[in-house]
Amino acid sequence: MRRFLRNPTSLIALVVFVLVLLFAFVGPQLWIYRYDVYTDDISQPPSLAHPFGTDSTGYDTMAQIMRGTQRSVLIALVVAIAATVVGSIVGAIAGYFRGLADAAIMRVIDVILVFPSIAVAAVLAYLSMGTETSWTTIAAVLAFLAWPIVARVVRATVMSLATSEYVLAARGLGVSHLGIIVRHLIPNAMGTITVAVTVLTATAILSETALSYLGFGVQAPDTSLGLLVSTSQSAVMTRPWLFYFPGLFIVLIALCASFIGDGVRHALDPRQSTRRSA
Amino acid sequence: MLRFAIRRFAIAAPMLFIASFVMFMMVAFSGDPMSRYRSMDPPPPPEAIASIERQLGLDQPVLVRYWNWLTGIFRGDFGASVANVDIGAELGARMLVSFRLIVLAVLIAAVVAIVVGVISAMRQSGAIDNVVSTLVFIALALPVFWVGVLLKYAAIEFNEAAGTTVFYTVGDGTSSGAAGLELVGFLALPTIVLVINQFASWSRYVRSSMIEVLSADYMRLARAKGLTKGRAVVRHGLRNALMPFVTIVALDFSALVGGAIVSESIFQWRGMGDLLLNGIRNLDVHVVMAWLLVFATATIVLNLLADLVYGVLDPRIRTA
Amino acid sequence: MRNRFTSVAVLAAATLFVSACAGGAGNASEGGDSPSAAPGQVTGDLNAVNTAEVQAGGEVTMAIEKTIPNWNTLSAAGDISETVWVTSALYPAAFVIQPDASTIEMNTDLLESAEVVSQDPTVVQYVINEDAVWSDGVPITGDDFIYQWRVLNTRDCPDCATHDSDGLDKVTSIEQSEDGRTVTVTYESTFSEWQRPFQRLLPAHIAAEHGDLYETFSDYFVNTVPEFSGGPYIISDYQQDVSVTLERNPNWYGDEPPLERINFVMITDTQQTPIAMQNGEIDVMYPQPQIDLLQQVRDMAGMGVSHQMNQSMVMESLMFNHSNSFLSDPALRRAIATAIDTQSVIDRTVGQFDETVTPVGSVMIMQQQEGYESKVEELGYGQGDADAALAILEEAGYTLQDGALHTPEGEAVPALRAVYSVGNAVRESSMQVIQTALQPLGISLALETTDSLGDTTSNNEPYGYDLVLVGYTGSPFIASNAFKRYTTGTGYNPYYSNPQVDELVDEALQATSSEETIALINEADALVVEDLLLMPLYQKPSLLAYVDSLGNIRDNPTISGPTYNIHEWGFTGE
Repeated sequence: MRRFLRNPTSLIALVVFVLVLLFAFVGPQLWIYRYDVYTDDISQPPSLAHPFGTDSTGYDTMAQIMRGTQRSVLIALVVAIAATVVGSIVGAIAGYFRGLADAAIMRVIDVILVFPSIAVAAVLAYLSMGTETSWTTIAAVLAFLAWPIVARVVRATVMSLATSEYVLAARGLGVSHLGIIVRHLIPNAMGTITVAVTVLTATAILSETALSYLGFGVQAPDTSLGLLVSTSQSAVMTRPWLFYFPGLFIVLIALCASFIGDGVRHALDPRQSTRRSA
Repeated sequence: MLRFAIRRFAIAAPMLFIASFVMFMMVAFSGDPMSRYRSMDPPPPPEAIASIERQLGLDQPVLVRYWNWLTGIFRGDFGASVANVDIGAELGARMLVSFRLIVLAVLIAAVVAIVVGVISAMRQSGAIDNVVSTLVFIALALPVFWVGVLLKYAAIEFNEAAGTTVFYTVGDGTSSGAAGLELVGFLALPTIVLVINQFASWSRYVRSSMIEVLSADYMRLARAKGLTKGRAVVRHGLRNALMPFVTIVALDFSALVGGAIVSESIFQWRGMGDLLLNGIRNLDVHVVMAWLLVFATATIVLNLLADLVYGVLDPRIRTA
Repeated sequence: MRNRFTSVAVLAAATLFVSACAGGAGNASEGGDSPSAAPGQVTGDLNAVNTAEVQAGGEVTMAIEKTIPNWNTLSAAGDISETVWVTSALYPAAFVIQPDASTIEMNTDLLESAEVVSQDPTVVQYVINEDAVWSDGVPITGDDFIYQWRVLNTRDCPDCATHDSDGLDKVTSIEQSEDGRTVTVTYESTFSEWQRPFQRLLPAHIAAEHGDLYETFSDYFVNTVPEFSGGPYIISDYQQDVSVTLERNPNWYGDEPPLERINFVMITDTQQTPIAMQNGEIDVMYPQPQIDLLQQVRDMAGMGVSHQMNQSMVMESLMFNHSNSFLSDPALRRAIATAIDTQSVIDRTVGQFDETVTPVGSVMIMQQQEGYESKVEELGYGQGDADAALAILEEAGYTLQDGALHTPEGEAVPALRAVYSVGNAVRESSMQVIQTALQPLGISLALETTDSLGDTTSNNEPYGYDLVLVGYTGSPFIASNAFKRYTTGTGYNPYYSNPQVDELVDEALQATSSEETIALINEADALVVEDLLLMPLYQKPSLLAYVDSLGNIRDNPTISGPTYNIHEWGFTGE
């Protein structure tokens, strides 16, 4: 932890990320405009009243970006956490028990990873939406496609840990399999897992925004950063604030996540010889 | 080696079969391909709907449909399309368009990644490394579609400055008969988008494996033998650092395809991405399934190739 | 592809940025741009905009935003505007609707004459030009008229899914002279809109080689890229989903068209079209106008791009589902219509770039057409009067409890499902404005998007919505159009029926003068508006942008589209 804090880039990234979270989740409570109530200012460039300008209906772009960031970050975090939890457990089981369980799990993982994830996500999200579009569907689909990646990494780590002396010693002392997994293996694989969370957050936010951009993600009247960029592509030259701000937020969030992940990696392994984790 | 190859192949072939089954069920249970006819106004007569359903085989149980679909593929028949798409022919034409983009982007991204990664590694924690690393992190965080749109405007500026149309923003160029340099103008922007999307993570990979290699004993030995650092890197280091690289391309194939889908959409290429997106929008299940099958096959084949190449390069793997 | 750039790139870039800021400020309140001086707004004789002396030769690339999945524009699924524009140079028409949406001109290349020889029943005699031939040299004859009649009349081919009968269901017989050049069409009674049929003639002799009526209509003409032409151009190259190229039809019987080649490029993501235009990759585009788009097009003026803004024939309207148990109460519908402020909908959408857009008050006759009368003011609809709306509800026995509306029976009115097309920013904004306007009434809307709605058609799933924003396309054939859209059991309105409307429209179809038709239709119109099958909002603007050296190209907001006179397009040689 101390090593992480000593790395200025990661520290700044962490602070910025927390600020973005505050902006997205606390901001809407404080900000005078709401994302779903329009104002009388139409297509205004950024000003004191509207720091990020307004769109042609009169919505305050900052309020929209707060909402969009909230949606995008929520999806990204849910994906990252859900995929990591599932992936860690499954990966640990596979790596610890080996044999048949391992083979079966790995085949399932292989099958899921065979398909390009954005394509499957688009298919599943579109087909399963039916009448109602919700961010949970998208998060669930993306998490379903992401857990195998974590499982692979955790499995590899657990495999090397499983033969270590203290695990063998625990076995000798009669500690149950579950106890070993929960008390020894997962805590020791925590470094790998933390890195996986951050990397997944970055990729999930890019996947979600790409999906929304293509029209298969978050749907209006709700909004997400990808959707905001998608609808303002033609405004690059004429109302640049509509295009640049949401895009910059995507970059900012993904960048913070990557830097935090890098910091964690450094802290855990100063020689930084960790394998690529995603 | 042959036994290794056969064993790998024996794993890959059933994988494809299982994947096709999983995919079929996934698509079959998640939407009604006839809804687009049912929602027509004025609606077609029920007999017409029933006849299309028969034509699409939707009146049969799902397992029978799967079997018919699977056996159909061996005869080169990908099933009927609700949007009247000749799936086999479309796949052929569009694969050419998309794979040209992907292969080109992979080659360029790999070269850029190696150069950037090696430079970074050799100047580890130096000023160059820091600058390059920051740029790489930014590239990692850039959404494909955002960059794509910005690049278009940059291209217009460039064309204005050059006084002639160097870069094109829509189409893949082949259908309008572009060739030579003009074709490059069509290919350039989407390729750049994909390269930006891909080189960054690869260069991180090259960097870290290069750092590992640089501290390895055989490198010290090479230096001790009197080779300069540069030569030692090229002779011994690079080869060892790059060996795992082949698997990375296979592993990242999915991400590449994702990037290609978005990039085709922005640049209006009629490639596989366009086929998929339209297939999904029209709930054209056979198109979607054929598409997924193509990429599942491609992924499996790529992984198989990577395994084999790796096996050839590193004998230890074969017994693993 | 031509290079269309000025050399001062830096300056251009700087201007773009400045104008971007200025544009934003100007739109808000200052109103610096006076509406009358709005550049590009077409005025005067719409049928003669951009008339020019043109030279022979040249090549034009036009962007279309849809692909062509079906070549039979007479079929329900193939009647897509973009396909119609491309094929209008191939499938000859007896009459062509002119840009003013009222004038209907005979196609003098195809016909020598077409006139009503007797009334009650109406008998029309067409004399086909003796030079008129298909591109394979076979003469265009009464056979082609008869083929069209048989596929569209709903009797000879009941399974043919047609876009419309075009009035041919009222034709009892078609006879032709021995040489096939004189065609006599007899209607079952008086039919006022006899100029409507035979819009897109297909070659009967080619149909005869490919099966019966159903097979040719539903398969051959749908799936085969036309190799024939009866018009000025013929398809020389087709790249599926990418482009169609037209070249001069060597067997064209009219004056040689100026342009040598026309490429239609399919750019399905409309946001990419203006960029391609700016980059000189396309010469003509006909996009749905939008504020940024228009600004971009205006900025391209220095690069040799002209544009025409016009009023389209597409009426945006809010459709009510009369089968909804709450909306079936006229009082609730009236209250909703009264609370909506149509002007505010316009201000937050198209009004920002086209100040000439005003609320439309009729559903059967469009604003630019002869006989248009607004009916909404009298009814108090679209004025944004929440108090009046509340009064209507109160009178009908509704109550507001905790900000939610309850029926006279004490049942809470649930959130109404309000549907609009996915990705349509204008409709999204409109729905949001309507949603806000209904809040004081205690009515909440649950906004939903759908992709089964066309941009201009009223395709909608029964029961799939409570309120839906749709575009209704007007037509110069007002009686037929009204019949198709508003009379009982015609498919477009499964739940609306008003016998008075049916009767008036029926009379209008049999009227003998256009004044009589207009009077009857206006009467029917008032009833439909009051019943609120749909609430008319405004007519969309249309935008045509093209390289300024291209002469004779002009907007035609009717179904004919801007390519209606493609055989006159040409470069002015400046």
